[in-house]
Amino acid sequence: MSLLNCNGVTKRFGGVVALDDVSFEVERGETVGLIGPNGAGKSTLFKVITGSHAPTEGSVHYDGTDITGWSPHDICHEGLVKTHQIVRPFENLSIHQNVEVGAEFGGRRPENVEERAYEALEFVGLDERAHETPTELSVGALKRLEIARVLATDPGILLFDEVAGGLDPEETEEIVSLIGDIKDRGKTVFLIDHVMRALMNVSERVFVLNNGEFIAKGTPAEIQNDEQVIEAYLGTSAERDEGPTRGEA
Amino acid sequence: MNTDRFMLGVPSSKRTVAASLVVLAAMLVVPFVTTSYYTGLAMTALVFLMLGVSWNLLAGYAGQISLGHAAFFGLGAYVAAWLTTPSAAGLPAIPFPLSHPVVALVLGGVGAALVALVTGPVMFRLRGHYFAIGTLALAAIIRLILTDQRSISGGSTGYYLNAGMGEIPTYLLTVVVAALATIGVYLVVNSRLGLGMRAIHDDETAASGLGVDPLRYKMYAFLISAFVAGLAGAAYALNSLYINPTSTLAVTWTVDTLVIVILGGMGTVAGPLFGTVIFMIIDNGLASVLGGLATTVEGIIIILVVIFLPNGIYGYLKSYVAQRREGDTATSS
Repeated sequence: MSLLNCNGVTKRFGGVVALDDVSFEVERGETVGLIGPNGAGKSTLFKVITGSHAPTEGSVHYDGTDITGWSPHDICHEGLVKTHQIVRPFENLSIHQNVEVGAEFGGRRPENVEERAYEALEFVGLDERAHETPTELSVGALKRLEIARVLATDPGILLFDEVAGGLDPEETEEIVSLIGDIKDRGKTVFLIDHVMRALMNVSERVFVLNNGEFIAKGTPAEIQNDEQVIEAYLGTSAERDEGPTRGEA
Repeated sequence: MNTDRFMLGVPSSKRTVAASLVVLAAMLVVPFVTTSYYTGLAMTALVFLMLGVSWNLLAGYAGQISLGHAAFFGLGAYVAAWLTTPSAAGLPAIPFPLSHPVVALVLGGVGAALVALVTGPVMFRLRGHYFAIGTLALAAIIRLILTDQRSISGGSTGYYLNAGMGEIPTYLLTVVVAALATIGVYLVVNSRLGLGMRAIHDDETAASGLGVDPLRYKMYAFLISAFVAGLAGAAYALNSLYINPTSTLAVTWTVDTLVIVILGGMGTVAGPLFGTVIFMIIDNGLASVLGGLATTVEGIIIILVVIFLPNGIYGYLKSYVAQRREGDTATSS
């Protein structure tokens, strides 16, 4: 049985169809990338999965449990967490306390909260700055703090919404290697990113979303050679010859 | 790692504890070494301190701005009045333990908390400014109901209490209750509850995504806050021995509370303490020096603090001390 299962998910905002009958499965231990042009509905899909938005139609199952329409905190307790596209640290809490929120409230049984929070900080390399406030961190470090917070909830699946967005190549490299480490811990990862090379390297499968619909699913190699994807997302082949490996951000 | 799990923004040194004990001892001896006038001022300060501590928990820590605290204050006062002096409301005699002023005071807090328990889930469907307006409306409704129900509130004639504890015992009781309320809130903000509240204060969406149930932690803050405001109201009633719905539930109680917490520093345990002292000095000192102009000058001072010391007096002192310490370590190393 797959770990995450979306079935016929549709999300309408008034007359705008953000997601149109989206169905897919993510297997346990898998790393799946989600790409698509701006406005394709990627972030909306993540918000529907983690409960910030209720789907208009369709259902979301996690580990066999129907979590459609659940609140974000209940979904977090179930084992699904998401990092935010634009970082959202708790600015009046220390870095350590930021992670403690995840450790304390994210799981069903809050035990050894302090140690678990510290471990998560160590994992992302922020342990030495545990007692500073997030306002002193760079964007790259804030992204790592986002990762530490969700890791501290001891999740089953992590949804990363552009966790490498807006970072310089060095910081991106750090994040990519962190995602690799998270995979090695046996976690399931579902990620959106515009940094194509990074996403293609870590993902076993890639889904392509365009105008709220999946236009392709496959291995990174298959996706890179899919005509429809190339047209919708990477641009036509003429543009691509001059274009960078990054998608239009 | 174990030392400062929840320390940010919270005083914890031995020096702080010692200073608190000195203040507490000083408050306890006030009625024995000064005149009744100063005891009255100290009594008012304690009532405002409790209101400040109460409002600060809800607004400063949980981030929910209430403009309805006068209602909880007034309810606490009326519950204490009904229990100690039931005959004035035409109620049957209340049996001994419940009619004792100490019990009535605690139940004043409980009564206010019960109203918060019932109204909270509705109020928290509103967010931000809308929550503030909702609580303002809630307070107005409660005040109107009490004003209208003359038989239980005394209406505009008011309600005379026959509590019979005497000025000094009531004052000492209030010192103890205010100290316990302050310590209690201090413990709450440094606990798991406080962490949840502060996370919601900073970012409700992010907190919810990390497993914090926002309604639950807002409700905890609302209940504790209403309880302490109710204690303040009950202490006020037991001391003044006269209350009426128009003045005891007046919005000025809420406004003064806001001023105290904002002057002192929101979201800090010591903020309401500093704020109360400054407010009492401004409010009474200016009135005796400037007479009719006092309120105007008071308003100007508040505006200046909000503009130039947005974190309040205590917040400013804290960052000033922190900066100096940083400077010291920088020069010594």
